[in-house]
Amino acid sequence: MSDPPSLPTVPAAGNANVKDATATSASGQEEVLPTQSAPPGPSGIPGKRKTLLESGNLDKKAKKDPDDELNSVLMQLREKEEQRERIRAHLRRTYSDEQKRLAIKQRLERDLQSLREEVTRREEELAQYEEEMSMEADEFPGKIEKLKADLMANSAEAARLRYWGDRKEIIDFPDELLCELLQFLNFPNQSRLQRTSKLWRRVLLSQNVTRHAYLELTKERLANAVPREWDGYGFPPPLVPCELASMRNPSIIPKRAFSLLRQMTFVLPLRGQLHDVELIGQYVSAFAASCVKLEVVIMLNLRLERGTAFREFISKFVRPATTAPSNGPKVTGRHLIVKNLFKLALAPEGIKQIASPSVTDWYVRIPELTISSVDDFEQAVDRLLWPFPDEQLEWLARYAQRVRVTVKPDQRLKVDPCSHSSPSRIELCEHLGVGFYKQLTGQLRAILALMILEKVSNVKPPPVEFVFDKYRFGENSTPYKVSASGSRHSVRKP
Amino acid sequence: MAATAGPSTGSGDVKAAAVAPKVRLQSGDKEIFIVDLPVAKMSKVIKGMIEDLAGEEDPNWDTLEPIPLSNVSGPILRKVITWMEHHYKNDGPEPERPEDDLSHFTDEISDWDEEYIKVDQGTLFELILASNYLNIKKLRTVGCKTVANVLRKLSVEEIREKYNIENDFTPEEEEAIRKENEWCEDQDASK
Repeated sequence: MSDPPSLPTVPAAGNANVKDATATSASGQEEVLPTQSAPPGPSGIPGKRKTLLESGNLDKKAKKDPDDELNSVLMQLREKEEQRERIRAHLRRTYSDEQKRLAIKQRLERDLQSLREEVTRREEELAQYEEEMSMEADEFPGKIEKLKADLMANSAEAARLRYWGDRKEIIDFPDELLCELLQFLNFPNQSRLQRTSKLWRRVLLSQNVTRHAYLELTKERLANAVPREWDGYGFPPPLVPCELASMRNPSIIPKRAFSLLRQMTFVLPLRGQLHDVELIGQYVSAFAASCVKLEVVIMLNLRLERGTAFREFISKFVRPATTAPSNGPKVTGRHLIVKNLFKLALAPEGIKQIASPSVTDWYVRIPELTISSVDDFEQAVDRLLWPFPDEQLEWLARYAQRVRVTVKPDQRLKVDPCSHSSPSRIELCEHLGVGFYKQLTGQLRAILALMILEKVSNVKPPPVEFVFDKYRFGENSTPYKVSASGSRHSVRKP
Repeated sequence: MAATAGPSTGSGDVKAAAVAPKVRLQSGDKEIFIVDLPVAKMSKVIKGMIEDLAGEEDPNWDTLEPIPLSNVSGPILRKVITWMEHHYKNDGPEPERPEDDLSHFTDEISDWDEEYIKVDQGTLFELILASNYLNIKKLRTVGCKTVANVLRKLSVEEIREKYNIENDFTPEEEEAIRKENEWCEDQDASK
């Protein structure tokens, strides 16, 4: 800033030119700096001219050609003037550049100064940060110890959180559990879900699932299964199992699923009217015809009014195992298991006469009955109602007197009344022996047995194989137990 | 020695007879549950373990190590014990049924069980797995039936999505199976 600006070489050259000019003019010192005595520009020319005219040399030359001389001098003067102008302009430029340089230098110095200050500040900050960090680092071991202690204290909670993080999905089920789960689907749904995945298809077609399936025999399904064109006589036309309405193309009966079945449970609704045994028989027979390996059919919750229709059904379905005469294959036998069978035990008119008026229908519930032939069914029902075994009659004779029932004889009651009693009225009493109960109809015996069980709760259960629950139809025609405490049933297997 | 030992064992017997023995069960996350011995025996697995322990000598249940049930978490075991206690109190011990007994297929779920099983999907699956591990058939049946009731209302695609099941059939294979079972394709949702 304080240094004087160094002059460039150009001005030096200018000075040299000036010197040359003075040398060329061959005049004294006063000619070198004419600008100092005379104003520059055209106004200076007359001054100059006067000086030159005063010189003796010039007089000689002027004598030769004064005009030329003058002109050349004027030319020289102009050139010099121009030279001076150039030098002045150059000097002005140089000066302004110098000013700029100075300004830049000053700015740079300012920037440098601020940068130095910034660096100093940053250095201070870094030092402070380092100091803080070192203090924090000293605390770290303590903190780690504290975190370790916290972790130990919360390990139980952490384990619990970890356990709950892993929720179970259906794919976590082992195959046997998946198999058990899919067994709870009915037969059409099992077939439908085969395309869920390869594993599901494998499980659904495995022996564990296909050996036993079930199907609900709803009113709608049965109604759809009846072909409209059948007039009810002769052999029914072949039926398509499940729902006719859902079968778009009867030719695509799923042979694979049907051919694997070994056991089929048909579940009948507990609610509703008495079952149409004929229709059920047709449906089950048609279904069984599609299943070549079907051996056992289980009917659940069947309610029978008459035994005859059921006998017809059994005769169509039940097939004893036979061997073909010409060393052919043995035909697998088929049998029917009836579970939770409700059998109407007494005709309503019989009940109205003797039993409580609130009870309308009496049902015998047979928990389980395996039928391999028509005879099996008839024997089982007969054993239940008629004839009672002797032990059962003894039981009846022993407890009947406690019931205090008066039996009005009618056409059903074909009893030879005791000599001392009125022919129109028999009171059950001690001296009526087994012989009396033998002569009672099966229905009356059943009523008496039911009444004993209802009214005398602490009697020993009857010894017969089948002992009935007492059921009646309610408002919605559902058989339900009239009295849980008084009714008993048992099945004593031989 | 016999004289000193006699009265002490006698009093112990009286005490044991007055208070029903309790057994301690330990869940997978180390939670301990104290359960009445007959209630715990509703699980065939626990029953087997108890019989193994009791077979050696008459054990003192209070000092005995808890029975470890490592595959069942605490919250699930608590729910299982609630179920066992309710059914022991109301139904008594589960009767022995023959192998081929299939009445549980069609028996309806009781109101209490229906209310009990109203849980989220993950808990339901854990209950089924726990009942499978502990071998409590009736509880397993209730769980499986509940899932089956959901399955029958859903389409195949919905089942895959809901239960994260990958469809590993090629489109051709799937179409072939669909055709094979076309007769029952409209069994879902409304049936």
